[in-house]
Amino acid sequence: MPLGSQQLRRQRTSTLLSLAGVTASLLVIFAQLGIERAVYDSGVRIHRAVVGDLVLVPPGFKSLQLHAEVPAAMTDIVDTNPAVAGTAPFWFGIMSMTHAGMKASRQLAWYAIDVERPAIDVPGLKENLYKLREVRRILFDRDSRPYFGDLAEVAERGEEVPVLGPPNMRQLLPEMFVVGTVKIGPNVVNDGAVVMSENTMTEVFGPWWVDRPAFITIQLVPGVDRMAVRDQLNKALSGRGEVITRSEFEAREKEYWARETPVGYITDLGFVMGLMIGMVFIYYAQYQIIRFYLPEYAILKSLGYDWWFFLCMVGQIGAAIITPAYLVAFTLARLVYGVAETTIHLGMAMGLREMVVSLIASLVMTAVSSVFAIRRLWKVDPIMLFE
Amino acid sequence: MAETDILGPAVVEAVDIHHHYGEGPQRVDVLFDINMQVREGELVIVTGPSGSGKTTLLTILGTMRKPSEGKLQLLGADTTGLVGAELDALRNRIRFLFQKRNLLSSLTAIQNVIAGVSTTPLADPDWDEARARHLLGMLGLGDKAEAWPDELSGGQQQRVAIARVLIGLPDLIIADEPTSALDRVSGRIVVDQLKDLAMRAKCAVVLSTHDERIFDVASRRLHIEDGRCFEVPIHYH
Repeated sequence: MPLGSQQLRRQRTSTLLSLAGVTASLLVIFAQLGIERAVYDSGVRIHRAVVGDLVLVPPGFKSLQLHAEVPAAMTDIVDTNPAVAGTAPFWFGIMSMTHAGMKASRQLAWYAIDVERPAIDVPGLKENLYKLREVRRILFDRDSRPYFGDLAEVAERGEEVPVLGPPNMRQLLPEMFVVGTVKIGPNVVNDGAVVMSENTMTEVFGPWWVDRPAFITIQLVPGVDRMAVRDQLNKALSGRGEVITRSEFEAREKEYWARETPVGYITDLGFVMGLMIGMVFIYYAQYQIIRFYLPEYAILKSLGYDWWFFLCMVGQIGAAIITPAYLVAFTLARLVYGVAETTIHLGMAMGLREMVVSLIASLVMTAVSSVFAIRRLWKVDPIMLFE
Repeated sequence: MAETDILGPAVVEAVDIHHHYGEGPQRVDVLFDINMQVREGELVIVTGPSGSGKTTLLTILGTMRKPSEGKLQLLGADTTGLVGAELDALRNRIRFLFQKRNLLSSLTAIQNVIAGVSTTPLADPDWDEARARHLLGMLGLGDKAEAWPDELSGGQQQRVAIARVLIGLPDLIIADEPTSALDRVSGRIVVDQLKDLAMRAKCAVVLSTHDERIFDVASRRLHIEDGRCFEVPIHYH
């Protein structure tokens, strides 16, 4: 019996108000999920590009953004394990950069690799790797935010674009040349990135960086038990470094953003707020209908309808609101994601996770509000119809 | 052949029913020593002034209230200790017709009628709809099946409610002043059709009313005054 949805149709004002409220709350949820995805995913772009089976990181590693270092000497211990085929260091830091096409300098991430054995693989790196053998040659991230002018376009045309790096100890700006592009993408902290060789890094930032990589990737001999080797290496390192798998490497970074930065807290709070606002609006519609039709529910009770029917009916009211609200919010969220992504370049997109989580949130909203709403129906007694 | 000769077994058997509200100084006794029997195929009218206990009696007969004392046997089952599923099963064999507000305003006439059987676990939607249309046709509302309650007159609404009562194939119908909100002609039609269809379905009907014009449809008339019940002869016009 389509009672719930027909009652809803006859209560237009409450229905429209609830629809608008639930749509807005779902949009808030979508926005939180989008921000979360953008922050977490953009934070692990380098982690996902790592070449190797295991990663040697500083003890208690949480995030690359904390700029902890692992002593390069640790590779000597790692290399002694017969299961290790090779290691590759990776350096990471922040610098300012400017060029003729920019009004002011801008912060961006720099990644340095050993050109003979790169620790990462990102689109554009392999074909441009040879260019990095020459000192002060760098590759610019073409997915950087648009603050860097036409740098990427000019470099992709094959021209060498001179840029100025951060001031050195004598306050002189070292000159470097962009000789090509790679595709990495910015994150919350950095507007863009450049990739350079170990030699360029030494020349621009100083030789002491060589002994302080951010992490070292470990290539294993084919066929060995990865987890067993990880345990052996950790035992050998005795806490001076930590060997973790690539998935652990990525998970720790995400965990850091989710648990140890305001981002995770704010998005979680926004999600819960959206959920609660949605519940209130669905409950409002259910409550208005129950209040208006109370004597009619007494008739249904006199006809022998049980609590299960009433729960289904109240759920039907909730579903009749949440379904169009979800579709509208989903469509609007895709538009919002698209507009936001054009500006922030953080990989904000509607994925399966966003769809499933918001759908589950919608179901939770409907279920919880229905449970609250049905409590009012317990009090309905057909005796009231005799009075 | 007298009407009592064709009556079936007892549907309602009330023995020494006594009912009161409240306890201690607040106690108000409403019904005293009610003894009555209603048999299958019988329409019993309950009359009495306001506050005499009519409604209390109807709610007790409809198992919505337990009597404070006495024994109520419905459809052969003693209701005294009945709870849960057993009580629900018994209630499913009883249908109510109220003074007003009988219909669900968000459902059409036919949907309202079908609502009377939707609780049946093995309900067949097509069969239910066919029966609902048949009943509405018998009640002269064949062309009003898709109408909303607010498009029907008071008498038509009561007839839709009768169809909903009957589609559930009840053994006992309890009607609380079903004609009080209707004009004379509509009230007469409603009560005649209720009697006709209920008798055909072999239901027992207990109907409370103040409306003297419909007393003649009853098999018997019980009058309640000050909580005590006694039978009154019916004067047929």
